Order: sequence, then structure tokens, then C-alpha cells
Amino acid sequence: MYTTKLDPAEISALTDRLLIARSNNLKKILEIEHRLETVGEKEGVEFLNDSKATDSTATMYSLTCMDKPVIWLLSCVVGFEDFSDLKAVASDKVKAIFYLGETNDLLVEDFVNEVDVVQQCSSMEELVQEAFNYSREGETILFSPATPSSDIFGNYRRRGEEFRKCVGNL
Amino acid sequence: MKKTFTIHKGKKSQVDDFIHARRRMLEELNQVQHRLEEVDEIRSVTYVNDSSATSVLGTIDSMRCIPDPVVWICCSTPYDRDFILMSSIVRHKVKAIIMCGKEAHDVRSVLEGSVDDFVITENLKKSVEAASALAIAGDVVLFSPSCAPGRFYKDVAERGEDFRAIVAQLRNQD
Repeated sequence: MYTTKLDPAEISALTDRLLIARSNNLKKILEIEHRLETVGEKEGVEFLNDSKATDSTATMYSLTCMDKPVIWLLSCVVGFEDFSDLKAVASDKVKAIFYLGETNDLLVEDFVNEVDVVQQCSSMEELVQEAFNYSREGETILFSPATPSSDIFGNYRRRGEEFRKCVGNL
Repeated sequence: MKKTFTIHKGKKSQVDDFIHARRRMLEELNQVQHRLEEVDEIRSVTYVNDSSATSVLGTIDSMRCIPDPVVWICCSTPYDRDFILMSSIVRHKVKAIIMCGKEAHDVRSVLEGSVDDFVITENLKKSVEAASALAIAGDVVLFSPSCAPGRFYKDVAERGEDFRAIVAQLRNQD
């Protein structure tokens, strides 16, 4: 008869090591760059980079985290024009919307009654500049595109870097 | 004394039957439906139906078989799945994850950092549309749900047929 008997201490040592490895892995996974990252502050206006928000549910979470009035910057891509599920959150937090990319009539239609301004911009510099011109002290400028990144910028990291650079240039 | 073994005539036919049965089984294995099945190619993007992948491990195996960049359509389920198992292969192969169904927050927290784009959609049709918008020439759109057909479909075949029908619609729009 062969039996495999393991010492209880041995068993717990094994599982402990597994648990530690696992929690380390999880920690590594949860550290994501470009997610609600403060990139700068100028004249009392805070700039937040949330380039990792590649769909509207992610942006919804980011918007619910905000406690100051928000100027929301997003980018529009063909095929991802529908932001109607963000309407409820946006109506009490967002003051103005500036967007990049394709002209989006659906967005204007949805949000024109909820916020003061919905404006299209042609480049990232213009986007940041316009938002900063519009903002007042104590407000937050949130770059949370709510659309996939691969069309204009290639990936979310490059998109976030671009935003960071433009804020740095201000 | 030299021993000889002869197969009795009756026994021989038994052996033959056995071999035939085995061959049939092997042939049937090759014909498994809804397993890494190329459905169509639209604008050099290949659409692959892998509705048979009912667990995370099935999806990992399927991804190993695909050399090109993958846009992965996954389905949501109320049951727990261990997505850490696939975080490394997702990092290497998958460029975008499209989650079909709203119960997707467990997946988001684990796999979001490994891909460029993570999109949550309401139904399969919207998922396929999102995938076709994200995929560029040379990519593979892989429908590999990693869950049982469960609530919305009767079985794996029905789910696969649904995907095929949606891709056919996409082809007609093209």
C-alpha cells in the first residue's frame, strides 16, 4: 500500500506560497497606468488623465468618482457613437463637453440639454486649450475618452501620453 | 515447440469491428462543430466561431492555435471564472476584448491591463459590430465565450448559429 501523507505544516507552507504568488500577480494586474491619473494643475484647475477608459462603463465609473464640477473631454470614433447611458451621471456632474475626432450628432442631441457646451475640436492641443479657457478655479478637466483607442492614436498609452504632453505645454 | 497464435474467424471480425468503431470515432472528432471554425473573411478580417469553448481553458487552447492578433469576443456569466489563467496569453495575442453582456466587472479588473481596448456591449450583435470596427486587415475576430450557453441559448450549436447569422448580416452590409 502506498499512501501519500503530507504534513499539515507542509501543506499550509505550500498553499501559503501559492496564495502569496497569486496576490502578487493580482497586484501587478491591478496597477494600470493612465487610469484616473492626475497629470497637472494650473490656476486651480486639475487635469486628470483617464485614457484607459475605452468604453462607456469605465467612463461612468470615473465620472461617479468626481466630486467637483467636471469638464469632460472625450474622443469620438466611428461605430462607438452612443453615450446615452452616461446621460444620468453627466447631467449633475458635467459642465461642458469637448470632443475630438468624428462629428457626432448623436452626442450633441443627447447632451445638449444636460450640459452648457458641446463642442468639437480638431486636435489634442486645441482640446486641452479650449477646455482650459472654459474652466474656472476649483474645477476638474477629465480626459476620459469612452471609446477604443486604436483608431487615431494606436493605443491608450500613446493617447494618454499625448494628453500629458499637451497639458505640460500649457 | 513453436507456438502459433491464430485469430479465430469469429474473433477476427470482432477485432475488425473494434477498429472500425475507432476510426469512426476519430472521424467524428474531426467533425466537431463550432470549434475554431472559420465563418467568413470580410475586408481581410477572419471571423472565427469557437462557440464550443465553454470554459477559460477552452479559450486558451483556441488562442494558442491562432498566430495573428486577436479581437476576442467573450460572453458574460453569473458564475465565477478564473481569468488570471489567461492573463499572459491575452497580453501576447489579444489586442481588444469585447465583453458581451453587462456582468463583466470581474473580467475588467483582471484583464483590462493586458489589452489596449476593453469594450462592454449589451448583446452579441453589438459585440460583433464593435469587433469589426476595431479589427484591421490581418486580424482575427474570435468568438470564444468561455462560458456555458446558459441563459440565452439552448446549446452551443444555437449560440454558434447566432454568431454565424450575425456575421452573414455583416457580410450583406459590406
